[in-house]
Amino acid sequence: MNMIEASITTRPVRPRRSIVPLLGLVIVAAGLCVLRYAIDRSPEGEVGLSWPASEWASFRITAIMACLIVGAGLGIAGALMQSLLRNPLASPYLLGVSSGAGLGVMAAMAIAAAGGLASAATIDWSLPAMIGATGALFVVLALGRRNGWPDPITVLLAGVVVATICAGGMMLLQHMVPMDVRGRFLTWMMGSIPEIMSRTQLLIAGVAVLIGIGCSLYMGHWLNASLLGDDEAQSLGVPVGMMRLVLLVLAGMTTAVTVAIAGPIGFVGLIAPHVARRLVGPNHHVFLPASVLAGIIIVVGADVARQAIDLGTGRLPIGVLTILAGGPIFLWLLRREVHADAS
Amino acid sequence: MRVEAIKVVRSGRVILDDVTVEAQAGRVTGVLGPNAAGKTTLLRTMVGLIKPDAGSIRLDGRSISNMRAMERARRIGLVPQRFRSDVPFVVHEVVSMGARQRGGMESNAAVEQAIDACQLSEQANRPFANLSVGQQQRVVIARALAQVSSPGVLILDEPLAALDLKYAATILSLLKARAACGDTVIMSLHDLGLASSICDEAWLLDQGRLVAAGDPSQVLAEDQLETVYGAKFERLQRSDGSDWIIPKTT
Repeated sequence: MNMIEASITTRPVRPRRSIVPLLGLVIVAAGLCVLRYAIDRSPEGEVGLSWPASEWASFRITAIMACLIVGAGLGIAGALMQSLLRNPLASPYLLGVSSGAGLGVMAAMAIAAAGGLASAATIDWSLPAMIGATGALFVVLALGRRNGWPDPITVLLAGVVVATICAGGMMLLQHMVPMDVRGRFLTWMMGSIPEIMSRTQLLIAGVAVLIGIGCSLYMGHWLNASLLGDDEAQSLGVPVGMMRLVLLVLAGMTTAVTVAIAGPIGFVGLIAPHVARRLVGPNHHVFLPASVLAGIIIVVGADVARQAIDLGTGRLPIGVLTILAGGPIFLWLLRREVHADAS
Repeated sequence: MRVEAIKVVRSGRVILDDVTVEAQAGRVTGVLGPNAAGKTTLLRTMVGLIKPDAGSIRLDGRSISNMRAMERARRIGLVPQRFRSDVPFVVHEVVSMGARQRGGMESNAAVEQAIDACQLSEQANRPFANLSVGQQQRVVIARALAQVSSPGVLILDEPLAALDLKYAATILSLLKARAACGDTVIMSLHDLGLASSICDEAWLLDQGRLVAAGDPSQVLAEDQLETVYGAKFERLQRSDGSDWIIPKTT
């Protein structure tokens, strides 16, 4: 067993000992949501804490709801991907969903520009993102089959190749569109938490993520048994192939929903499961909720932090913040794992 | 449990060829044969992990391929030859995974009983990954014992390979006790002496074909063993009158 495999499988924690860290995550997540509601940034860039006036409150509540959906979605999708692909480096975007969404948005922007839509900057790109993400997901799952069911290694390889092809398509379209469209696309790629969304859109996204979380929790004991290996899980009555297909579709759809809302936000789906596993262990009945909470904490925390950071060019895009902060945190976690395994 | 004209072909190679045999409830059956004879493939097919290219496996007259996965798991338990040693759960959790489909009080009782029977009480809260291979083997056996409700089928692929003499005796006693309660116990073994002394029935496989099945004293005849294994054996008489078969060394 190498170090990477070790980081996904070692140090069991009994579920009853996991209640305290789980409660801790709930409290931190709730605290950050309150902070996001109260943090106030004046047009001059001064940051303070105050309850918003009623006309601004709905924007902040929308942003918090979007953060909750995106964080929870990326947290659960990352946890599922790492468990199903048995790879601690797996992230929700390995299914090609992010690149597929990017290609969808880029194609829609190119069509809008070619059609002379002057107001293209104000168009809602979530539909083309959703279409692109879903298309990429189904191509990856269709190509990643072995004996009729998704095979972890084949899915991984198909995901990487589809993502690369989509990236190539995005580059081609960027080469073909005017500069201002290119700029808009780059802004979308950096990720953003919207403060304006229709209630219907929020509701659909929220329900999609809740379905993903609910089904994953329902299959928690199957996921636990799958850690024994495919043969043993099957001999215990787990329909491994079907479980893998259902959960990969759910992980992909959940990711697609988050990308449609906020664009691709890197590292959340990778780090949240690692943080959760360190806190509560690998038992999926507690690991999955902990990943959801960790994802929420990271996204809400990053959205709070970006209100306070201005490098003279406005608020930092959330995707930039999660990558710049998440990368070092991931490396720190990795070093801790390596030291713990060596000792 | 009845194996009916099973044929398994993988990558153009015939692994099992027209194997028909029946394991009786209440008896311990030993599956014997040299390396690559098809023992593991036969056992995995009997659990439903391998879909045969021809033939069927029947339990109480029903094809196991028509059973729901959970029902099959409740009735047929497997102790595989190889298992992951890095399972990230404690012993109690691993054994509980076997009994989960039994539900409620019955499940808890089955887990405690299996842990106790396999003498794992002291290790119950220890991480599986931190145990020795022999201890892990006992945990996997305990999980299968907790999984199957009697009368069921216990299929064990070389279950004694990693066990010392004390625990090998413990596990053999357990398996015989389960057979006495009406379970069908089928296990592959390499030790012919052990097979002749503890098995009620023996199946001898060679190159994917069933060479003989029946009473161990007849199946394990020296000339038959010599043909199948390509080695010479001698039969010793033990004090209780039973046979002990060991390979002849030059």
